[in-house]
Amino acid sequence: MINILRAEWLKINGNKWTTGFLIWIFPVGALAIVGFMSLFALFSPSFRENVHPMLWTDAFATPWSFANNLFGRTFLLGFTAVTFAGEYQWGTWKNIIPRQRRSLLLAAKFINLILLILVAFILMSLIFGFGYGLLSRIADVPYGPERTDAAIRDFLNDYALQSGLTFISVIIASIYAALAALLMKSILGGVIIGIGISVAEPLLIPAGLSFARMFNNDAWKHLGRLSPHLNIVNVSSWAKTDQGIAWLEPTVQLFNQTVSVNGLGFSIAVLATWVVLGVGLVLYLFQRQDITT
Amino acid sequence: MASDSAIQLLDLSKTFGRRQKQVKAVRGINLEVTANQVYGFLGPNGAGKSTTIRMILDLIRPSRGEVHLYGQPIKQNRTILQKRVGGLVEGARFYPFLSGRDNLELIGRTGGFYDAQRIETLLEQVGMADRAARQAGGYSTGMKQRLGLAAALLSDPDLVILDEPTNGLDPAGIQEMRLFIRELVDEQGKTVFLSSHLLSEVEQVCDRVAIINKGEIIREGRVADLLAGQRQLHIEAEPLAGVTAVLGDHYSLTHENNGITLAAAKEETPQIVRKLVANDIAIFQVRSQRQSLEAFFLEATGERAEEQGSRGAGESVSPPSSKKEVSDD
Repeated sequence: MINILRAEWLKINGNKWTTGFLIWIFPVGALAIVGFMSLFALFSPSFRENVHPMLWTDAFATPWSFANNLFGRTFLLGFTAVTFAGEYQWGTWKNIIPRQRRSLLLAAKFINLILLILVAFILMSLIFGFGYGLLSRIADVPYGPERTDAAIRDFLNDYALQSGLTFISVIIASIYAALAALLMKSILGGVIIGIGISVAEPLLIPAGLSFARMFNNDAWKHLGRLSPHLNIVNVSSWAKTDQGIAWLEPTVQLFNQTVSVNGLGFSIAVLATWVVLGVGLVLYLFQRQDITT
Repeated sequence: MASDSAIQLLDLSKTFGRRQKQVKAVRGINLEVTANQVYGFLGPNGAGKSTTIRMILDLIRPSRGEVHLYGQPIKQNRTILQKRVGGLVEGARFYPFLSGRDNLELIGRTGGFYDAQRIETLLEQVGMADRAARQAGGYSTGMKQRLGLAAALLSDPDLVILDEPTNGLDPAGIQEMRLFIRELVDEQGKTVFLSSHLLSEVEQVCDRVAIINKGEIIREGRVADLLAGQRQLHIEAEPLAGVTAVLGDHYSLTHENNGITLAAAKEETPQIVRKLVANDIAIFQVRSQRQSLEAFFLEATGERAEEQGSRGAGESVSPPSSKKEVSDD
């Protein structure tokens, strides 16, 4: 498996423009932002006066949320689409499929791209956290909270949850793009359909409400509870406020049981189910697919 | 099951699409390729050659039937494909942003047989050593074919499957490739399964040949056996229209080199000459020659009749219905 991972890495690393523009742009962008801000703060008193205090806990954790917004996600979808659909577009599946099991080829792709994205986000988080610390020092604004054992412990917990959330979010985005790429067999098609699925998926919430009204059945109202987007938001809410999102009913009646649906466990279970089913579906389709390019 | 069988195709079929849009690309092929020979796979465009090769390499799932490699069904034992087979499929393609050398490394690592020294040796053998550091995106078709051959041989496979390997090569490259393919079999003891549209090449390189048309194998055998008895008569006479009128009902006639060529055994010559003389036709030359594989192939696939038809009525000398059948082996 190490050899397959290295082969996949050779591919990803060799495609420098794509990897640079779609992945390394995150840490490089962070470096550029804090670098310019620090330079401005060094040389411009008026800029220094306008630097707002920030919590270091936020500065380190906030960059992770980039993966969950449409802008950040588009880059990740693009990268995943290139990783999967590129093989069709370059006609290279035929070189490697006879040499290795399809499931391992797919696994190597998922592992490499997720690790690469996580490394990029860790770098971005570190650059942003330490960079804003430097900026705060130059501008002479507080950069709290005080680094007590309790504060660091809380931060590490939140940070782990936030990065774990990004991890799941990246996997789900990868699944969308991989599915789109397998079906469309083109990079552009993969990106467009991937974004389409990504945008459409949160619409499960209003769709559920509409179906409930249309079919006069309240069970439909809970359709949105199965949306990865809603559950990612819920987990994120738990990470930040120690409670689930408040704007939906906290429990639903399911098979005469009252189920807490904004609990952390429920959301993690839903997300894990999506990941398992999604990866399974990608694998199933790829195993059955005829490679004609 | 024969132990020296490299490839066995058992009732192999592939249908693409569903319902009205169904295309039957391969229809119940049965074929056995024994080890240590060059086996030619011939057929016109769209005959099902590449689909068959892709099914052998597990790129396409058969709709029916099985592929056995070295006696093992690949469906149950894919390791045999990964370990003992190397393939170059229809137009070599590579990651355009990687060098030729990196592309080979990638394939080697994927298959778990990466060996830097072997890559260098193969690059030297296929004449790509001095260009291996360049990005594959800038390679010509011929260079890609050479690199594709190196990729196919990377794992030192027992069976090498080459789909149109000489595409894009210049005449010198084609000759080099022919010698290389023969060397693989004669000196290295490998088995080569080769598809090509260059029939003269197949005739020179292959030991056995299968001809596929419209998804079915229509002839199979040793090249020499297939051509044995497939003689042609070339007749130069005046007027040619008279020759057509006399022989057109009995033979498939082709205008060639200021004369008419027809498939006929040497023994039929006196009778044909008598008929022509009886019809006041002046004969300048009658030459018996062995039919080339190309002519045999065109006869077998019915392309000659289509070709004649497409040339126009004036040149078509025999209706397809009156074609003399080439007997089966």
